Amino acid sequence: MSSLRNSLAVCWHWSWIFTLPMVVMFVHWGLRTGQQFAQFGLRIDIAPFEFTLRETGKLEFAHMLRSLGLQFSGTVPRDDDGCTLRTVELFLGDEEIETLDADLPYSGEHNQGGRLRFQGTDYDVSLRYRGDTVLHWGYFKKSFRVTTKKGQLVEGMRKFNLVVGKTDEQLNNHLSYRLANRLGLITPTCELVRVFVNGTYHGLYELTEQLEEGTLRRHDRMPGDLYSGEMIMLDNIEGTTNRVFEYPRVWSKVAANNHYELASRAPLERLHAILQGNPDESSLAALAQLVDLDRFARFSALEVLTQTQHNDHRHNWRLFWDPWRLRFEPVVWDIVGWHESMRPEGNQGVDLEIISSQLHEWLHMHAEFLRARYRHLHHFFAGGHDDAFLAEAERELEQALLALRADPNAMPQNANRIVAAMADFTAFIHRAFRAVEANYVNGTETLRWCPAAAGGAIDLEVATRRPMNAVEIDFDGPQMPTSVKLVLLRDGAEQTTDLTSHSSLSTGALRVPVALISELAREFEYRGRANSLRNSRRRVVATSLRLVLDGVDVGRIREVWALRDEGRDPFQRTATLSRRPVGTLFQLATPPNTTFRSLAGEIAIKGVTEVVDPVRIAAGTTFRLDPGASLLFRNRVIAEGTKEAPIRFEPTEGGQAPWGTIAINGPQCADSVFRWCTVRGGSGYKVPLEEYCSMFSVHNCTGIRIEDCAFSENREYDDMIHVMYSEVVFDRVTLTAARADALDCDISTVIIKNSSFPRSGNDGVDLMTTRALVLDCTFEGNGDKGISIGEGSRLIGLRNRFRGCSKGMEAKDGSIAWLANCDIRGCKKALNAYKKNWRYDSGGYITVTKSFVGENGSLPTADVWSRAQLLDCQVKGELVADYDQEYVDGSSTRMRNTARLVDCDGGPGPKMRLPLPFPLELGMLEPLASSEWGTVRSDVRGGVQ
Amino acid sequence: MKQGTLPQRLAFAGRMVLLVGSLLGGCTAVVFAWWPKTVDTFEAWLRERHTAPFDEAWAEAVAARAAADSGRERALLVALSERVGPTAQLDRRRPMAVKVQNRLVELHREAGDSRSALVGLRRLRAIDPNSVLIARDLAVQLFSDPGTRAEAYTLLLGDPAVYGSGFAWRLPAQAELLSPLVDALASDGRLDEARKLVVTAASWPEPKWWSIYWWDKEYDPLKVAGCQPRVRADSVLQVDFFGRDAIRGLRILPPAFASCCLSDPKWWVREAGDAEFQPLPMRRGATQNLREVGSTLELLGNADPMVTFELQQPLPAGEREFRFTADFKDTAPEWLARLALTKCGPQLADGDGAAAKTLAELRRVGFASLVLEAFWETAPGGFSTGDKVRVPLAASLQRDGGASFAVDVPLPAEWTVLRLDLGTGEFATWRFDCMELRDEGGVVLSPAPLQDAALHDVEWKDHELIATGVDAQLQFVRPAGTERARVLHVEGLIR
Repeated sequence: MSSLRNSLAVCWHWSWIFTLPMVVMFVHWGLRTGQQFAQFGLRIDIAPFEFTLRETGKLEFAHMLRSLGLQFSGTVPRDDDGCTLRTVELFLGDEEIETLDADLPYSGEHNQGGRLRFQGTDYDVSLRYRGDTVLHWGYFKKSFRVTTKKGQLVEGMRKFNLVVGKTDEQLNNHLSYRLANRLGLITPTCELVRVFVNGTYHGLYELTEQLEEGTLRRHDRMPGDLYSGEMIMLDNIEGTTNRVFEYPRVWSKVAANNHYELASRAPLERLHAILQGNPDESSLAALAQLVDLDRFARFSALEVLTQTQHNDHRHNWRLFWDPWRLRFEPVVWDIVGWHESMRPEGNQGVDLEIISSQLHEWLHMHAEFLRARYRHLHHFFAGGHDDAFLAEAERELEQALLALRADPNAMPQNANRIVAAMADFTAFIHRAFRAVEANYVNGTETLRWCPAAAGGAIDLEVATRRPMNAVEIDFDGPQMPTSVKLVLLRDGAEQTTDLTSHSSLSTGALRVPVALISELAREFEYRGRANSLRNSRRRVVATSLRLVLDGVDVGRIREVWALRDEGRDPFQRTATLSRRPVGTLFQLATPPNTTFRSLAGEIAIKGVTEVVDPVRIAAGTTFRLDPGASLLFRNRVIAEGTKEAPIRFEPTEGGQAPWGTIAINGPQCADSVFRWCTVRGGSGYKVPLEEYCSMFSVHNCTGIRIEDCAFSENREYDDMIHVMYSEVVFDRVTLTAARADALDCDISTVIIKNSSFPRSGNDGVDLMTTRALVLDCTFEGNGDKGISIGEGSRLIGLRNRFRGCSKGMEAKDGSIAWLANCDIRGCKKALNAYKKNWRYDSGGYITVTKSFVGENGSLPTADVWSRAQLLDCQVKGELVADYDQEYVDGSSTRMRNTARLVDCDGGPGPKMRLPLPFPLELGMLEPLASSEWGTVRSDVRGGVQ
Repeated sequence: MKQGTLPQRLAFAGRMVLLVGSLLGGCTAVVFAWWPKTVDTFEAWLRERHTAPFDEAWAEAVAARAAADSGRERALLVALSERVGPTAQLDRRRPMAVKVQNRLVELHREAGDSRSALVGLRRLRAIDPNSVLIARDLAVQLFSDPGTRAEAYTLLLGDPAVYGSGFAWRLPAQAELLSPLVDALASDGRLDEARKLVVTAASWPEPKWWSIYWWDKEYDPLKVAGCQPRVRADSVLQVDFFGRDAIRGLRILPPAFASCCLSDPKWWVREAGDAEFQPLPMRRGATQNLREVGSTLELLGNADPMVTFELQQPLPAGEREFRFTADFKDTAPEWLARLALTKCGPQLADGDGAAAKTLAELRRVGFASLVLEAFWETAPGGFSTGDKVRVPLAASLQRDGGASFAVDVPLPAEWTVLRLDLGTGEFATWRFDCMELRDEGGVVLSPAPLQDAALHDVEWKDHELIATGVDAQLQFVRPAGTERARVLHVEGLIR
């Protein structure tokens, strides 16, 4: 009895060892649970989520146990734990954290000062919480928005988000972005990282770039308006339908084209007008003029592969308006692929089309959109990208699990639940891929034909998601069709397209280049989900078409084939076919217009003239343009003047105000030629949807040749010639006395030969993100640089002469140039390299070799981020130790000159005579310039006259 | 318990506290784990405690309203408003704050206290800066006082220095915002701006997105899909879709804020294997926010229009194709036509420019769509909504900007008092050149006793009636000797 009593006394004496931690834990748990429930359960409406007291208590308890367990077991991220994810360290003062947490979610919206350590570099940053839903700011781990100071970039980003996993499987957005990348879409940078806050491991995060101008630049797009369409939660407008495509002026701009008012929404208003119109051939054609069907097809492929409907009527739209391509392009944002709520119930099949907005509805009526989507899906599977992505997903999930092992704040707290969710997630990705592949690539189809009752025609029936490139008809004897027409029934009338000039006959087979595809009809069915978007699907319906073959005995038809990239498939012959009218499929047969219109003589241009047909301009033609008049070519131009009879583009009257622009814009302008043309007296052209900042503009087309042409007397606008998103060869071209830059090339590939750029007000040639080969050209008396390259451009220049320019050449912002056998003399400064734009990590790199550099105001200069070097050149003068680097805003900074001379001296004889290898750092120019590089003479210094 | 030293007593007390704390913690854990309903009940109690005081105070205010004690109601609501305090967008008390402020604004307006009403409206806007209706109410209030008129313009048109910053710029075809704004601009002589807004609104494309619901047993909000119908070359609107579900009823939600006429709406069905669509027998069910005129459905630019169809024979589950058709006619938004009829209408439509022409056309549409409603009493006891007839005025625009009309209003045999609802709102001047009671053969029995008519929201001026309110009416007693009167013939001019 007494021993029991003693034992109890001992227990009582030492009970605090057990009870004290219990009470501490209980009090901690009680306070946390009370706070959380009071804020998010009682005070704030976090719909569609809910904080119940029971769940809050359980969650807090689980978190406490997990944190203690990790503490006691010493489970912390280590270098040798197999996790290769990079680490982001945030440092915030207690006061800042308290301010952020004071009154969530509102308090979290205000930036606080902090520091970021990433890849061994420290940055001063602003930090705040971000995200619309409680998942971002209501639990243990908060999503952060990190903004660096201007001029400081973290891997090219000024703003990025550290986003918590919003689902049990954690990686929906991350893997969606990875897949979007593979499909060639504009996508924010995203990677999984481990985040530490004030030295304590906070857990696994997705580092996601905040969309901005830098996103566009990284995807080789010129800055333009990047619109955001959101009409949900805080952006909901009571009293409207809250459908984003019905309210174009409600969209905000994430990045803005500063050539227009910030409030301008002209492209969106145009899209709005089309979508609120009536779907028919003309409105669908107009839609194709406004949206990049190919990019939207990729986006649709992404939606189908990820089964996402998160870009819906009300939110998540990010559309980039490319002011130079004149098209909208989708930007991938928050699509939450393969999310549990968007998976089909039970045995229901996956959705083969995603129709979650009005724009989706319209796109699915456009035959070219359907064809393009098929192409991308086919390429995805046929190219093995599905397997590569699945392998990548597996690796990323593995890494995520490793990072989650020591994550005290993971949601859910139950690790087994995360593992199970990830397994389901992976299985669903596999299932979705296989279903899409089975239906698109390997799907069954019906292709049938029969002689039409009318005679001289055949009826075709097409039920397939796989488009064809052409229909081929084999005859058992010679046939000579006099005309070929495609006829479809719509609304009780026949709609005919003449394909005669596009069809070809060879070895007993008639090939009709019509890319047939089936209509997709609406299918409404309740699919057991609260998500009503799931109720609307599409099904392939047999689409009836008639080919009228005048002059052909259809009884002699042996076979009808569908021609595809992957082979040809037969149409099955049948006795009869009923003709089903086509309802919601448009732009099925739109053969390219290849008939040239001839232009000759004196042509007066008043106002803005659009030329949509291909044109051939005869030698001696003179275009007289009124003040402000512009000529916009939307198709191929063959302008072939002669030395004796050049083609002239000039003002109607001497002394008049300048005319606007001559522009060729669009892929259909490919292979245009301007030969022996003179262009003078123009300026530029700007309207809400279109802008040309030069007298002569080449936008968005390839294979352009400009030869033996002379340009002069441009006024008002910046450039004499502007090249954008194009491939152009200039040969024997003279650009005289440009108002500012003579030739401005952005995101293009150009070859400039035997040309001269005298007396430009600014640069002779200005390149941005452009690949260029400049040969045997003269830059003389240019007000600024002879050649200026910036923003990641690459240039090889051979045998060029720079005379009396302000600067011979300048390279900036990640650009690289090599000049050989050049002659730079009489310039105020021979060369300069510097870092101009804070968005770039480095300055410019210029190497000049086997050249003459002398009689200039100063020799090369380069700042600490750049490199300027002369190799084996004849150089006269001395390098300066320091110099004043001038900036666009007129300011200047004293810089240490890092330029250097290697094997240079004042004599004409080179030190090395071995052939020069192609510069390694210009590998991307090798296909363009390797043969010309072979002409570099290593036995001379300077130009070869 | 033995008496010990103070440290011993403190240690004992400490251990006791820790033990009790531990037991409390343990019990809490047990309750959370094994008696979840108890936790839920506790949570419900907490929630109730969180909202009950406000609900009770609101109920008290409602009771005061029922008792017509507006002073007490106002005092209660003011107190409640202070207790609710400032609410941000996600606060659960936000709906209560909105409700209280809305009612307070009403009370202030009824009491003629426009300053307090304005304070209330500003509070409402602070609670929800994105609400069109709040913005409208605030703008109307601000426009009513010359001292705050500029603020109203800034609210709707934006800061002149910041292009596109106004609410009406963001929503350029929103009736609630445009109507007061155009009216204010016109009355301030800013006619070009007013015209521009109306022309933009008139040319602004209307929504086209439809929702179609279907159900088997009863209406199910989850059985819905959206689509955009197309209008065929023969002006027939058509929607096609395949369906598998069993269907007893169908409901169409045409686009909100759209204006058009859908005549002879029909459903068709094609069963699997059939060659042609067959009509699907239907009864028209409930409608909402649209006008039914015979077999025509008129969309008037309202929010959430709806029409329901009930199948005469329910369709079992199975593969079939549906088609909806209706003769389609685009019409001008009624609110815009009405806006062109307001007192500033003639000013706006006056001129040669394209904008003035658009306004004139809107006025023509507005006049043509006017309707005269006649209510009658057959016995003392007031008018009943069933005893009425609606007669389209079909007024045609004259050169001087007015619109002439001539209509016959059919009357029942037994009526004692007749009321004419002019239905034009606070804008019009009516000149009745002729108003006669006639028999079936058209013989004039008596002029209507216009000069003795009782007036509401309308007054005489120079032999013309001027509408002074939104509910202009005149009513007169049947004159003696008109027992055979079956028609009221009315001719005149509206300006």
